[in-house]
Amino acid sequence: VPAELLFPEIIVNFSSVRSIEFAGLNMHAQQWCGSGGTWLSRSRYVLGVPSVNNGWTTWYTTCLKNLSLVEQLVEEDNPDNQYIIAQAKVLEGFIYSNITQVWGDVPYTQAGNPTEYPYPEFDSQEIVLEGVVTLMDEALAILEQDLDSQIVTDSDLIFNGDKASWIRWANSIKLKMLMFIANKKPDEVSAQLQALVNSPLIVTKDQEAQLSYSETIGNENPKWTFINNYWGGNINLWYAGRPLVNLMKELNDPRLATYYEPNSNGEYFGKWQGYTGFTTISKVNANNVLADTPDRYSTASETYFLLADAAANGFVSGGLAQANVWFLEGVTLALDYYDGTLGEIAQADKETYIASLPDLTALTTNEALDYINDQHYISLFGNGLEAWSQWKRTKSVDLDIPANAGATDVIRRYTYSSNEAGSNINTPTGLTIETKMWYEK
Amino acid sequence: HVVDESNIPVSGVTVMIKDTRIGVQTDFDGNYSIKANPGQVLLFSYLGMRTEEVTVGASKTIHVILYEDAEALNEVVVTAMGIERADRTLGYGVSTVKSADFDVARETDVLQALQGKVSGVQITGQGGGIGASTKITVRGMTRISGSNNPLWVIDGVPISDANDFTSSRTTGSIDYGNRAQDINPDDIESLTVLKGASAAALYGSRASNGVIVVTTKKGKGKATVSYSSTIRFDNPLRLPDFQNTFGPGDYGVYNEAEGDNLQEVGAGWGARISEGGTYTDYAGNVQTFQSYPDLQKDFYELGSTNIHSFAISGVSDKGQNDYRFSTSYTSKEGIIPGSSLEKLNLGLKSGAQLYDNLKSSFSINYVNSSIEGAVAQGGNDPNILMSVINTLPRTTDINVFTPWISEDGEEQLAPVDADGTNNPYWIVHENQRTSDTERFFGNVNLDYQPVKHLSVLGRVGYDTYNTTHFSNKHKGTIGLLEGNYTENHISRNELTLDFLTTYNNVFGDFDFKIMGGAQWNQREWSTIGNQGISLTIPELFDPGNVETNVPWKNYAKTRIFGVFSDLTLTYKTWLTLNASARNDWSSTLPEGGNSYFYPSVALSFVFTDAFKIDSNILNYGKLRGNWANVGSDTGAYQLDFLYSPQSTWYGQFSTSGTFPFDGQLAFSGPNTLPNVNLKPENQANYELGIELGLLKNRVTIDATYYKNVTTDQIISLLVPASTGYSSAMTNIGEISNTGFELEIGAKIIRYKGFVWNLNYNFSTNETIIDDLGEGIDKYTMASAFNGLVVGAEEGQSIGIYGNRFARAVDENGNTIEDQILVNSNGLRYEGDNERLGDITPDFTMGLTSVFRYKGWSLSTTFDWKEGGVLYSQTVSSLRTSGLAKETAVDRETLFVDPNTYMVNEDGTYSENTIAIPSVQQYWSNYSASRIHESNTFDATYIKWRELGLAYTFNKEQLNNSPFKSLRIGVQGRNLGIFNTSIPHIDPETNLFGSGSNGGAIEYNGVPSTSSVGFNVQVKF
Repeated sequence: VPAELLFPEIIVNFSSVRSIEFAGLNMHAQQWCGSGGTWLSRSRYVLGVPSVNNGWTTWYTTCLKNLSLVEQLVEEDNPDNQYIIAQAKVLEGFIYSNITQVWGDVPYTQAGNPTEYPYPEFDSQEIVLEGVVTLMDEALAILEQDLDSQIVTDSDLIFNGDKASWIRWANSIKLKMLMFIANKKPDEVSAQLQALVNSPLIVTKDQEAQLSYSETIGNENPKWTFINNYWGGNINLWYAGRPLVNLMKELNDPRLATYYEPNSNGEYFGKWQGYTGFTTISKVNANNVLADTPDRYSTASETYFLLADAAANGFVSGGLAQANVWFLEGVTLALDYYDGTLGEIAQADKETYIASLPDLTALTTNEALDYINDQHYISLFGNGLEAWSQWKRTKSVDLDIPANAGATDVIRRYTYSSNEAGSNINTPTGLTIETKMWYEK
Repeated sequence: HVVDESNIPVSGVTVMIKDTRIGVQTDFDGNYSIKANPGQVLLFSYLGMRTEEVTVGASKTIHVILYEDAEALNEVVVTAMGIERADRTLGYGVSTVKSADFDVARETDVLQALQGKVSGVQITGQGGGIGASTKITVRGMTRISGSNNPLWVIDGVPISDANDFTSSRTTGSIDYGNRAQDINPDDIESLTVLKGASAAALYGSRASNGVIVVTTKKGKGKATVSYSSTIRFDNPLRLPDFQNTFGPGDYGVYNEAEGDNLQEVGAGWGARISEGGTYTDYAGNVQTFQSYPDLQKDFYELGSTNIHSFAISGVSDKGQNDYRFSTSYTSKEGIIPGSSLEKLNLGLKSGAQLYDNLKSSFSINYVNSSIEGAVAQGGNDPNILMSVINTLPRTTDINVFTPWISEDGEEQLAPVDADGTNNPYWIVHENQRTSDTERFFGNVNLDYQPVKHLSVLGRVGYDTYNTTHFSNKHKGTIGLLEGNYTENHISRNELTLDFLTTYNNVFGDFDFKIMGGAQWNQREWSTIGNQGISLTIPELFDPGNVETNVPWKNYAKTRIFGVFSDLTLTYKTWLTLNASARNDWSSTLPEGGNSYFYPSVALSFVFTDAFKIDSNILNYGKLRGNWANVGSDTGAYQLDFLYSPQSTWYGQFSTSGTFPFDGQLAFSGPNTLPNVNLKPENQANYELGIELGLLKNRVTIDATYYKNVTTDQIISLLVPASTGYSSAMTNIGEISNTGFELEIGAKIIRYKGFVWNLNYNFSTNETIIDDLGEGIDKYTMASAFNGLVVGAEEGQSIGIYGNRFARAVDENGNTIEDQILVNSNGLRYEGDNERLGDITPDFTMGLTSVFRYKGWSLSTTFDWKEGGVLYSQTVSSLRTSGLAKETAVDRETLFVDPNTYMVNEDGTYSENTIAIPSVQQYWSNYSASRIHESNTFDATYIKWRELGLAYTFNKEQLNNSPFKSLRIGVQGRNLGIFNTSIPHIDPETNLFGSGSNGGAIEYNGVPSTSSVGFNVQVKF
């Protein structure tokens, strides 16, 4: 088959895991809180063996396997089409970045090669993150050339074959990976980060990488399908998580109404994970779970928050003055994201809110970082995987240890798939869900 | 008039005029009449009795006494390829069930009727779901992947026993039965189970799991019209033992003012019902708590079974032609409201002697069956009926659920849990699950004898069926509020062409028979279906009425060509050597490596004849032994790397979507890594047996020991997903099955017309996984939920594996088995995923007793299954929800979980002294479905399988009636379960159905039924 025909299968199944299979990650980031069934379980760190298996298997087989087949098909049928290979490498890197954010140490160098490595070794998270950077570099090296090569267009559900967009996305993924690495060994990556400052990055809403769901039957966001199938589109099990609500209340954040529904007293209340009793707790606003709500892979505000973080930390030049500029860009983009949607925020509210934010240059580095990362955390609402990782990297907000979870710390990683553990003798043992990620300070 | 040595009339004796084809049979009183001229010789023959010859003289009446064949049981057994052979010459063990055995308590399902009557097989029903499949395994499982089901052969022609079910075996699985259920038990003359590879070798690779050979009845004697009618009523055999003391709530409290509502609290953890609090019921009305102990009984309906069978048979043209036409109509109403089964069988079998040396025969069968209201088992689906019914609070008046649908026909009334589960009546009445099947099977035979001693047989067999499965979720179904429907058409056909040449002659003391032939077999299977999502008009299930359609299509075609030869050499009637060889070429294996050969040798030695032993104690003795080596192939299309178009993408919690996505099609590579180097599987097999006739055959004993070893299994091996594949096709492993079978028949009393016969059988089989290949220590054969799987582990038998309680470990890191740990709350917690037990029993046995006195007969069968384990989700649900009787005992007592240990701060263990925080938490934790150990039980049971009391009227009583014979009876099936340690459920159940290698797991299964009723049989 033509290589491009494999792209929709890869992208759509990848997003399905992110959107619904791992919807529980919103509970782990404590922006949402599950009130019953599966979602209460996720709040209590019961991860669900099938979900862990499905996520792992889908990402490694359906997604990464088909990506390696894409490269194989191109090499066999039309080796000139290097742009397709570059697209595959960017996707591969992004999928690995998701895998390592969920599980930490995972097969990377020996993965996807059953003849040579029937039992792939698990690589440290450090190697995986660096590997993703290398993949981005390889992809960029191809994309930045002017080649006589086809590029996947119609089957490219993300950018419809726009080469400049793929370059921006590859740089943005690289930025995020480098920031994870910088958390642990800043000196080794600051030069690369500095170089990225002047590279094309995702900086506007229309440049963002995302899978757009639609109202076409069968193409809807699976989170919406879920609530629609059960409650006709009402949200009945997803409530507000305490840390985010409290943070936003403290900041008088105008997005509260966008994110949540007020309780019967017109107030916003979040719940400590793992407890029951939700009569006075705010629900997640159904506007965030619509049929056409996209799965956002990399956003413009994220770029600015990461750059602001890098500047404040001194990984890149400019200091707090530059950090402040990027910080405000990030907040503005995050607030503007809802323009033209049901959650749109009034211009006056935006202005008041931005005006209420302190000038970072007047703060200490740590205070400034707190502001940057709190705003970054708020902006990731609905994107549990990124919000959870952001917390692990920065700890800018205080998360709770859930009730009835039997846990001694906030969850850091998922247990390995029982299918993998049962079939791969190299699966590490002894890790718990509380074992920190490599990149954590 | 024909009687036996005890002066009991013998019916069914064939009376033939020697050297002609004219013959009749004796009636129920042993009477017969035949036109014969003086001087002609009458032959009186009956299975198991010595044939008598009487020359017709002047007398018009000839009384004959038939004696049991003291020398041997000269039974003729239909063996491979339809070859009839005398039992005494067989070098392998077989078990045969005769037509009369199916009549005692007539079943609609042939396999169910075999329960307890045959050694060497394990038969497992699926509970009370209407039309659900019955699984049979012969001499244990020889494969950990691929089919372990025996081959069904009717009148020499293979037919399908496919088990069609909906997609997933676990999530809301619906089992629509196995296709052997299409066989009309009233058409069966005999059913023989060929157990070993040697017995089945002539059928080639497809027989490596044993063969069930069915011979249908054919016309005999004078034209006879027979009619039989059975009416039976069904009730659940065993319902859970519920508590009726506590209502819904949590920790003994239910208070709506404080925010409690029925949907969210525990079903049985509230206050005492007798305290009489109030609550808002599912329909929104305020009620006072009141216990409804018969809540489940009230939901189930009285099931019924009606079977009407009609047949005309006989011979014509002086016995040149025979004919039999039969029809049977079965209708069954299940115990679940709205469930029913209807089946119509038509059969025509006829033979003609065209010339002296040319015979032809044909048979054609038509089956039309439909099932309505099949029930979904498993989990993760809000339409699993049993998980709703069994977990309603004891204070539920079942009538609260009626009516279940609003007047506009779109909204569901009184759902159990607005967030998750539907009204039970909505599930059974609005969400249909039906199956409609039409099937034809039959054969045409030509038998030609060009010269003496040589015969040539040509046979064409064809079997085809079309099944349509339909299911829908009505608009308003929680989980799919927009509604959907699924329609799946399966069609299968199988064409078998056989050609056989036989040469048979006697040279001195040697009887010599050699046969050669060829077989060509082709199977085609296809399925085409559509899922329509989001209905516009509620009950119009049409692709044009939905917002999106997801069509699919699958197709497979496989072919086997085989040539075979079989040599039988008998010396002086007491020594028989049988050797056979077959070579198959299968389309499913790689070209160049798709041919495999299998030889078999069998020896039968009747030592009592050889050494002329004929005492009153031992009158018959035979030793037999055989060896065979068979190969086998695999499913279609396992060799090539194929990309396939995808019509759906997967989303958890029923959120899957469809392609095209944004107008784009999607393709994917395979998830199973194919293998171009697959080899055929190999099975080496040997068997030793002894048959004894004692006390003039009053006692017969047949014992068999066997061992078979299967190597190079073709397995879709689970590989690490990180390789990019979920599984890979490979040849791997070794499994051995060792077993012992015993059948004893005893004619205990024969005195003045009183007869008491006992038949006993015993089987034990041990399956051991000898080798799983390098790097693999466990192979998952079928999986359920939360890590509960059926698996194969090196050095072990096939077992179920699941999460156990955490246990202490010693200094070497080994688990200390009897030290279960508790956490700081004094509650046990989840430990490692480990072996929970064997899925197969240690042994099974069956006992059938028959009393006869004059026209009366009383027959009953018990079967006993010892050992093995069963996981029960129903028990888990009942206990965690506080509804099981045992959870109501001492609810206020905070006890210390006995014989458990706690972990001290320094890592040592000491005896647990922490009292549980509450009984609710204890049970919710102890029986949680994520901890499989506590929900796994010893699967032993004894079942009272059938009981039949019948009276056969004699000639005088029928003198003034139009009937030739009349028999009336009362009968019962599955009358009781004894000796079981599983609470609440019938241990004979299986989530996985007959098509899977899974077993020993119950997941919200429908209760099995017990039935009693009447039967009338008349002949005109």
